[in-house]
Amino acid sequence: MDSKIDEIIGAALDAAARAGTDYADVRFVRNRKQVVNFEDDFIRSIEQEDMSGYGVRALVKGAWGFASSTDSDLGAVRQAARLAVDMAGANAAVSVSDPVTLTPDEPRTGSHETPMLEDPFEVPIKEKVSLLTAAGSEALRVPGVRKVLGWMNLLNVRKTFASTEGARVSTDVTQTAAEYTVWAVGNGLAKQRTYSILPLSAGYEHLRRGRIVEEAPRVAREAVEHLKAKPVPAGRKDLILMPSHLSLTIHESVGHATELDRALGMEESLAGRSFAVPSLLGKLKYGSDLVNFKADNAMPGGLATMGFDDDGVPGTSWHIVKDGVLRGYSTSREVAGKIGQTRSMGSNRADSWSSFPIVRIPNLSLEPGSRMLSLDDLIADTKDGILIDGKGSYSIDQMRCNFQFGGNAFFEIKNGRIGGMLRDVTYQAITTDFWNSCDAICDGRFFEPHGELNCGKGDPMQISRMTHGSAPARFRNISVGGIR
Amino acid sequence: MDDEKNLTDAVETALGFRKSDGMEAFIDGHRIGFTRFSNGRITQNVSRSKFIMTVKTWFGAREGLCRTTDFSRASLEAAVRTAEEIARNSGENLEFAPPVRPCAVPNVESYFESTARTGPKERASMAGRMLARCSGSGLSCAGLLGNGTLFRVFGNSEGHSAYHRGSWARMTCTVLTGNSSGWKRATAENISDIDPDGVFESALSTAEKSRDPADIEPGKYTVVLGSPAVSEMLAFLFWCWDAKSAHEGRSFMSGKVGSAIAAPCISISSVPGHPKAPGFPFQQDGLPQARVDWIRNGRAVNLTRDRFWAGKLGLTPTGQPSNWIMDGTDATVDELVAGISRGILVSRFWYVRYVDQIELLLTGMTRDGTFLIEDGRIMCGVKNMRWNDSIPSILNRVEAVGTPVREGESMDTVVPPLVVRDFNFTSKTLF
Repeated sequence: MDSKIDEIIGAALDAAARAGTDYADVRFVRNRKQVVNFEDDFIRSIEQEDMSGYGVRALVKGAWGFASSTDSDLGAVRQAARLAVDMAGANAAVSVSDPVTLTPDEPRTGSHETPMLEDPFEVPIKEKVSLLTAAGSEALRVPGVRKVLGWMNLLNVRKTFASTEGARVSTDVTQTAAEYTVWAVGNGLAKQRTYSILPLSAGYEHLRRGRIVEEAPRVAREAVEHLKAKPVPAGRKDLILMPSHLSLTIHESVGHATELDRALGMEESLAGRSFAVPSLLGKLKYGSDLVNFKADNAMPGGLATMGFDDDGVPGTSWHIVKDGVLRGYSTSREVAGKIGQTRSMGSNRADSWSSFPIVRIPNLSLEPGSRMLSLDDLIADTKDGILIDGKGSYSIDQMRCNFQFGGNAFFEIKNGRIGGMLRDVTYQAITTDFWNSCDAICDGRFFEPHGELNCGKGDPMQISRMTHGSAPARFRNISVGGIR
Repeated sequence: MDDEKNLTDAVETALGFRKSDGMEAFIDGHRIGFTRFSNGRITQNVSRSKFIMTVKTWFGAREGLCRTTDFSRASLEAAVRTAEEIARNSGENLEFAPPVRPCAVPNVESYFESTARTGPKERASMAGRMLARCSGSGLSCAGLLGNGTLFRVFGNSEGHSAYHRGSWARMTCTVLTGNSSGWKRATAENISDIDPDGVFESALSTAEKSRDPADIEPGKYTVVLGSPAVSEMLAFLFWCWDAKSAHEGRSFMSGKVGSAIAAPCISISSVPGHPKAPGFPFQQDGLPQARVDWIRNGRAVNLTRDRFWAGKLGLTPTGQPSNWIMDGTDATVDELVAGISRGILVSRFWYVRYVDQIELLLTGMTRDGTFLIEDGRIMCGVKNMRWNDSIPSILNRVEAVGTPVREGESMDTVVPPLVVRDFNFTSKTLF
């Protein structure tokens, strides 16, 4: 296989160079995926993919062309490369302004492989079937449970990237995750509770460490309790948000808002723009002084930890927000120079060989608080609040200002104690108001990385993955409910 | 790798490797190109050729599925063996349904050579015209032009087979002033049905009219929902329109088939080969698409049902339709606006999500042109607002229906603009 990849890469770069490109790169990608879907205590489907293809990106006079194919015949490869160059030329002829200039990066060589103990594709199907159906059976034992729906998702992506600048890097990334949702139905309501083994770049050992069967009774009981919970009245509350919930709040209100292509207007056609425009860099008070967002594409286990991005730039770490102030963006070689940066932060990713790489959210985490603070202490210090665990409804405007989030489970906090569950909780805020209301973050002992498997961006939509870590954090006086 | 013989041969080749009790093979393929533009230039120009075969095998009720992009004999045999290995080791699917028997598939003519032939130079030229219109005018524009050929090929071990080739073209354009925006989308099988200049002018007109948007307080307003907004909302209705979740009490539709769930002016159906949105003639399991009424004069008539649930209910299966067609009238948006003393015109929605699936309570934002209506006229643009409202409640508050337009991003729809009273805006944003 390696020699075939060499041939494809050589043929593509050679054909692009002969066609007169100023720059070209080629990605050969092999995707293996296995998804086991279960319902109640039986298997709905087991789906395996083994797909491969290549994409050639050419830059001519500051304009891009890109062609991809699954046809590995070398004639087809050369044709795709020539087509990419032709398309770039067609674009260059009509592009009105702002030609592409890549920030310099030394041609990299090297490889990255997800550290793992056990290849998830080598684990027998029967073992996976028995694990998942056992979880479903355990949940169904709890009276009031009506439905269990869940999955196990295993992914391996092997990619070779090479460019006419001389870069040649390869990545071999394996990611594992499993999740199920338990439904309780009654009194005209249907409520859920979800258990996740957090998605990580890791082998099957990660899933073995999960408590997928052991946690099923608790999850099922909480689904039933959720059904009986009282609805939240509209008003203002202090919120304690758990890492399982904060991951999506970080993702939507910080991660997307600080993608530089979006902030520059390049994603207007579908995903939208950002309020956090480059003129605010170093000035915008994004959050309170406690708030530090750090990007880290070398984070162990991170879903965006791939060694190199699709510009061939190595993963690195940097601050997006430091001491509450906007300090950085996610960038690619195409956009970094637009704000005077001399190098890309390495966040250019495509979801397939057939997709054009765009700036994607990196692994992006809210750094834990610097003073010792446990979750129990934080709850004890909260008089009238709600603790929110897990993900629920989420929506944000196309400039990333007004958002509304739900959650998976809600627990009332009264006078420093956790009370019963609540239902129908949503909170709504303007992004910077929300992050400036953060007055406490638990310390590093409570930090958890949570992976996002389905981040949509681009036009047509591309799906990417990344990780957002945090410790539980408190937000004061947030508008809750009031939506009906 | 894109003509009928090659693709049907690949399906037959895969079926020939079967050792299982039964097998399906399905190819989903496309050769498409698209051109994106923004920031005064073309930002992407992409050519994509992608063919994926899905092989599904079963022993009794144990199923296995494998996908591959390599259609060589060796690879197809490996895919079949992998699917069989999975099936042997899987548990029984308690909702296993026997395969589709040989049957007629509707003839859907949706291929236009001119669409398939349009290339990057033509797309670049169209994009260039729009970019040039904005250059030096204080305006900017962003959008996508895409076109190509779509393929679907099916065969199973029962001898049922089907092939479809269709063409597809889409254009979207957003025009931005300093503080407003307008957006327009056009989708067609025949690219000559798309008028790029008309799309641009429509987006420009909306952007110009919504300059300097006013700040108004959220609350309940009578709204005219543009057809893109209606299409987006209906997607969330029909993702919860299945008979199974209704039967299990996990759906708003539990116990509601035969009942009135919307105003009497609401009728929605699926129509294979509809002239405005023909869709695909058959589904991934080979099931032919059929005409089905979902809501007729406000009354729920049918829910979607796969082959297992259809058998359980003693009904014919519908599978997942490939279009949703809503009846309308001849009324234009301007005529709908003329009937409103005070209200809001919503051009489109953005980031719609369920808040509560049982209530079909949704939230979302307005985007790209939101206007205040007074005394039957558009007075000014207003800043975007968040809304929370439930689909059945909205459909019961429909007061007027306009002319259906082809819309749809995640599902193909032909839907009219609607006038809805007491639409629930709950907060505002900054722009």
